[in-house]
Amino acid sequence: MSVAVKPEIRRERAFTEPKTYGLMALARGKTAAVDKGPEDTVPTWPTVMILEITLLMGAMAAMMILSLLFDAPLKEIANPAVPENPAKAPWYFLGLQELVGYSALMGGMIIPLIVLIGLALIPYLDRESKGIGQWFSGSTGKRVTLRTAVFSFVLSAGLVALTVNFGWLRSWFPEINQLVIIAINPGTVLVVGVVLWSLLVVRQTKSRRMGAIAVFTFFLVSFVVLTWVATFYRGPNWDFYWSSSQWPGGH
Amino acid sequence: MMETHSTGIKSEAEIGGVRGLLRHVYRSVIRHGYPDTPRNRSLVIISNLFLHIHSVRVHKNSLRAGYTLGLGVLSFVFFIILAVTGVILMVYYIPSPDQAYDRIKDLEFVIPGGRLIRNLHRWSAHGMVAVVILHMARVFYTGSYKNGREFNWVVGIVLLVLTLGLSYSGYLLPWDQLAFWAVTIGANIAASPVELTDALGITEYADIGGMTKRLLLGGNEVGADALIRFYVLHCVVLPLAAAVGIGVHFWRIRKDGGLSRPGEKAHGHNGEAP
Repeated sequence: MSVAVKPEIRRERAFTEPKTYGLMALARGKTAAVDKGPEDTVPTWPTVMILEITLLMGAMAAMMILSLLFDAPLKEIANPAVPENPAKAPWYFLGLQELVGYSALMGGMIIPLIVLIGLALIPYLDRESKGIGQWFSGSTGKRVTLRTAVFSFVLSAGLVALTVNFGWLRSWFPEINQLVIIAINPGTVLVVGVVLWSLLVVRQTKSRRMGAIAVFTFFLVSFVVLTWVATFYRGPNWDFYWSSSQWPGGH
Repeated sequence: MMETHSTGIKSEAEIGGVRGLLRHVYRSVIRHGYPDTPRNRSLVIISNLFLHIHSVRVHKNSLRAGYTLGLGVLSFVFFIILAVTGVILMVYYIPSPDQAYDRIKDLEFVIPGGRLIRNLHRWSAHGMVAVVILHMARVFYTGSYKNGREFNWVVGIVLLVLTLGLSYSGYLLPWDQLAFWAVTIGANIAASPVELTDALGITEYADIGGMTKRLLLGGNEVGADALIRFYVLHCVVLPLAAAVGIGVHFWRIRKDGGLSRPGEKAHGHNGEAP
């Protein structure tokens, strides 16, 4: 059934001769819906406008307060002769910088590339159509998310703890070929870990969506763990300190 | 030319007096009445270039705060704040190693409001990176990359990369120790294929890492050439790319039938619009 709203002919057009506009809305159903928009919709104006302007003003207010309270960092003028120690990248790259210590190629280029390609491929690897529009696609998804979070936290924090306390291949076999370390380092162990884990999840739940949830959660949690460690526990020469007050040289 | 007087109906142009003129001007800009009727509420969206990225009506689920958390809109809001404050900073900034740092000092201590604008730009940049990552997580966990929205997820990944690139390229511009050494680390990472070519003993013939680094810096060290490259990337190339990407991202949301919601009808795997 169709409902046509016929407007009155307007006499005050600015530039063109009077035209009739017909605005039509199509609704499925046996009776005309009263006080309920077609398919449970609401008019964009004003509802969405108010929400968007609220978000705009809220974000601007928050940034304004933050900017009045805290100044952006500015150090001494750049001096190639005096290296910063530690020299840290911005926070969102610190997780990678944590891996770069073992192999710049793996940590800085190949693993980020794998992560990006992996993220972009998610919709094509997981083509199931259930669970759309629902947080974690239901209770199984919540369980998978939680278990993966615990597993990836243990694995990534464990790897950091292992290397901080006992070192890695280079400290055990000083003569080792760098090719071996490029292939086997905490970063690649994490990549192998997530692949095996998500394959296990797919086998157990028989769902690729659950496999995708495992991959994404693993990525998110290990990103947070590595970023946290590099931000708060890494000092001069990228050594581990629980607090920057323990840094040598009175920083 | 259009014939406007053929019908004999008096057009606004013919209503005399100041009131007629003002009405004429107003109607030439806003072509609909006050938006308190369904018709005018539709027209206000349809007849405005900036608002017509929205559909006239949206599904109630798209407005559930607990569903979207407003993160997509917030990402765009941060982009706008950064564009506006960024242009103001450009007025004072000079991308040369001799002057960049002094100009930032001027912004901090001499130019009225300069420090506030720089602070806003810096904190909003961090905010945007954080919000974009959270937005990605929201879209992922609600399964919103399915049902025709596959490619828009990929566009989103491109926008994530552009966001990181924008933030990182801006990092060098103050030309302080923080900037210099953070970018030196980045450049060394770009040079890291040397690790592999060295281990294989072929760096002499195929120095991929060194080439990448020189392409990024315009030399072997972070210097004047690197600064101008990062400036152009930060102020022209990446913002333009991001603006186009954002346009595509928004447009596809509409073509894909609005935001995802529970129980929506499947519309094929080929990205067909409903």
